[in-house]
Amino acid sequence: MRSQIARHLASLFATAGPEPFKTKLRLLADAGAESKQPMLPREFSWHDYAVYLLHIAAEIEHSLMVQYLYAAYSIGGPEVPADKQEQVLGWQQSILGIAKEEMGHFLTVQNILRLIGGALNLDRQDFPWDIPFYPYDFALEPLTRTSLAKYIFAEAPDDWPPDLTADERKEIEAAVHMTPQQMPHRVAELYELMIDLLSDADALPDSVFREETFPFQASWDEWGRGYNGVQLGSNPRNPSPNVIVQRLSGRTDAVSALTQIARQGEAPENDPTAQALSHFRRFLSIFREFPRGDAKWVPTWKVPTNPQAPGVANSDAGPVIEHPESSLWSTLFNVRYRMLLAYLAHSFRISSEPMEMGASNPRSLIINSTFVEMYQLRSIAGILVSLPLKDDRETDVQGRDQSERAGPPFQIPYAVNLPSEQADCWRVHIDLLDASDGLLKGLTNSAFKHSDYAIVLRSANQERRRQFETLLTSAGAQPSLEPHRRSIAV
Amino acid sequence: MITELRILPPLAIARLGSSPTPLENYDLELPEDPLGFRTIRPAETLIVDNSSGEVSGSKIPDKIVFRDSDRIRPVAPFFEVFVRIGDGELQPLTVRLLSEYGLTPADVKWSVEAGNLKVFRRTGNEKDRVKAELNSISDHVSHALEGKCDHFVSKETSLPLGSVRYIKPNGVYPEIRLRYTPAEGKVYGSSTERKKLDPTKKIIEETDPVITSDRVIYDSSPGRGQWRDWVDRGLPPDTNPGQIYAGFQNADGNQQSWGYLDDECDGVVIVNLKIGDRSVSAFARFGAGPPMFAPDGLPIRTVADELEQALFGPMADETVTLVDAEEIVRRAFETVRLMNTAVMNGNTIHGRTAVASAMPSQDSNDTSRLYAPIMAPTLVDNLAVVALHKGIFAALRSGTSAWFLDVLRQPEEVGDLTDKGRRKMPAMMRGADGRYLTLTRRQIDIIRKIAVMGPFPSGGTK
Repeated sequence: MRSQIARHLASLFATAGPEPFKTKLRLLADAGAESKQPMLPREFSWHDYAVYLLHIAAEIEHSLMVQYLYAAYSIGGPEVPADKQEQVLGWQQSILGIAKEEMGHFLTVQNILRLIGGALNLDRQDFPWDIPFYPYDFALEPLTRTSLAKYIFAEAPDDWPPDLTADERKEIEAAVHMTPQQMPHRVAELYELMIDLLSDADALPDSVFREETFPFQASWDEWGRGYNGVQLGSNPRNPSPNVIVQRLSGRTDAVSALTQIARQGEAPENDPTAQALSHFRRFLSIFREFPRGDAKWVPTWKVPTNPQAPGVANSDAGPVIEHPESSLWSTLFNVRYRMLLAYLAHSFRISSEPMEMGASNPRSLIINSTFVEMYQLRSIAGILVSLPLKDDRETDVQGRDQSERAGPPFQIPYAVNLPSEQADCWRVHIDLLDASDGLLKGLTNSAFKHSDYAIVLRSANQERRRQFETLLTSAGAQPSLEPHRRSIAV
Repeated sequence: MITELRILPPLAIARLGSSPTPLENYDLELPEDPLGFRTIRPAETLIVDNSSGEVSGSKIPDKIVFRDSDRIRPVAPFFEVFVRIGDGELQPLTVRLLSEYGLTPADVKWSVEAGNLKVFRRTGNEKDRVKAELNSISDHVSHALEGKCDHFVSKETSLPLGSVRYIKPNGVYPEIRLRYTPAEGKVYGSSTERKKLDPTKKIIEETDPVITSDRVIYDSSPGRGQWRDWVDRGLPPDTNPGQIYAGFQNADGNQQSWGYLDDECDGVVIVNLKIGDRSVSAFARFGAGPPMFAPDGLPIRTVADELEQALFGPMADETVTLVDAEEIVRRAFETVRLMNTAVMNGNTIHGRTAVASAMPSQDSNDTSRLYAPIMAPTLVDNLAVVALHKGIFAALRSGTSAWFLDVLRQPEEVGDLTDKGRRKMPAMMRGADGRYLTLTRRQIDIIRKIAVMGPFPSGGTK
């Protein structure tokens, strides 16, 4: 974990310190037990500490989302037997649903930051990430029984449910080398502390909660895409995701939102419906169907752990993607990931009020562009898991390609913060489109397998660029020059 | 022996227009820019000599002209007669083939029946049927389809519903064909005055800017037709939605008709051939509708989709490919770019709510649902929505699975007025049953089959 974050965690996990939390509330986990007073590190005020904790929560939700997306994208491949495809597709939809719910958590945490006047945090650490709330490093891994066991463990309630068999429990605990009781810290502690802190009027007075930020916050109507846990018609096999994106006007809303998020993973209530929708149950359901090591088929592409796009490699991470077409797509993936984060950040700066009152502003464009990038990331990920990692080809005795595949690198950009001025934000978006265009131009090479997609994506890019140019001009800046021509070595 | 006659096409769609020159033939091709407008490619067009009624030649125009000044070129379809001899293949009926049976083109008899039943559909009064009939045409002059109605001002008065012409075959173009030319696209009425409410809610009359004295064809005097001032009764036989005719909102808040009629119609063409003591015949249908003002795109759901489903069933072939799904998404963004999405969504527009009779109003009017926009008002800027659909199209091109099956409205969900139900796709549009539009089951099945393909490149859909 980054040292600037990690150095303050000691106080989060400590039980005594120089300035005890003045609240009458206690950590929910310890209700009824001896009070465990959270401590305020000396560098913070309570408000600043709340922002700090929300920043950690945002990074965790962001990382969970990306980790689950990678696992979902790894599903598929030519070796999945025809009679298993529907089942395997169901697993993918289920995990993507969980990732969507993590996205909802991520957005809601940003809303709270907006509400209490903290800077947004769309940043995170590149993988592997040794996060102290989890018993294993966060990593981009293909879906296996071991990775599923980790996710089950991370989302498990305090006590294993009675229907978990001894063999299942053994396998899950072996994957993380730990039992739930041995787990030093759980992310629930973080949420419990945030709930306590935000609930306490002595620590955070009412004046901290700025209702006027409401129109700038993300709403379920805008971001939820109808995922409210109610399944209709087309896909009865999997429960619909229940994406929680709450706008908040004050303390009560914020506390309620954090409580809902904290509950969504583990669903500790004795409610069978809530249990069925919990992340724990959904992962466990896949785990129970997932083939064992001695099975004759593999439900995933042969993708690596923590792949990296070309560049100066991180020695802690996985292999660098070297195949000519794969490496270009992986670099493009990182650029489009940055675009998505930039649009998301920008959406929190544009009020919904004008459009709700009948005027227009670019909020619609920026939110819809974010969704388009989600679709493109999914598409590029689909390409990467099917393309080779390296340039050399390995075949089996029957001549089938057994080469390791690439995968979406999800490398965090050098910066996710936007400039101060609106015009400069549009300029950032145009810069990223231009970077994307250069890569796409290389990918339109007809020798490449997915050049058709590159052509259409380039066309969409150019259309969006024209719209951003208009907005840049209307924001008072000179229009950009045409994209700088460059050649891409392929 | 001729065992069967056929008219092809069996269904033709004409489009109104007042230019004397019919619209020339063209094909729609996919554009070079994958997200661009479809290319209108001129195609071979038969040229009919007005004086002789013969086809004088054919050409491929350099470009397609849709209007001459302010006159729109009508789409005037040909109906061509085919025959089956014994149990052989269909072949064009020609002069030579006729002569083999001792017949001439004059032995071919055409009958045409056309009607405009829009007023009758509302009033239920048989005397409001407008109907034109032509029988046993075997010459080659143009015959007007004069729509007659018991409630017209006189027996001589008619509503022009276009014309038909049995094309005179010749040595170069010996085939037997008939051409239907639709009407001009004019509006007729009951009076040169029309009503409205003054500020005190009193009905006043003013000069009708549309209906001149020569266009007054419907008699609305006492004891005659009731179309002028007609108000739908709010009963099941009404159209759904009701009150969708030109008029004004009266003091009761109901739509009161101005008594307008247009010159659209539907009809049947029948060809008959007497061979000795035996008679064979065939029929085809036609309709005349408004011009296509966006010819370089296609709607998301068309009559062709209905026919395909009726012919081949609700399940798509196992051989569907991404191209089939792409075509549906392409038609989606072609449709969206013609929509005023902010208004159709029910957004407040410059302080005004419910500015148009769109689905949000209908949801409230029909079910007393609280008036509310369908999508978040902040999402529906048109350029942004078009870009979103194009983005989905681009993503499909990657070979990724169609992930949006969940958001497609199922035929059983057209009346689901929950937020989630109203937000399904296609959005904001009304189907023929008056509720939210869906794709056909066959179209949905294409998406369903494609959804399985993405992650399993060699597995197909089994």
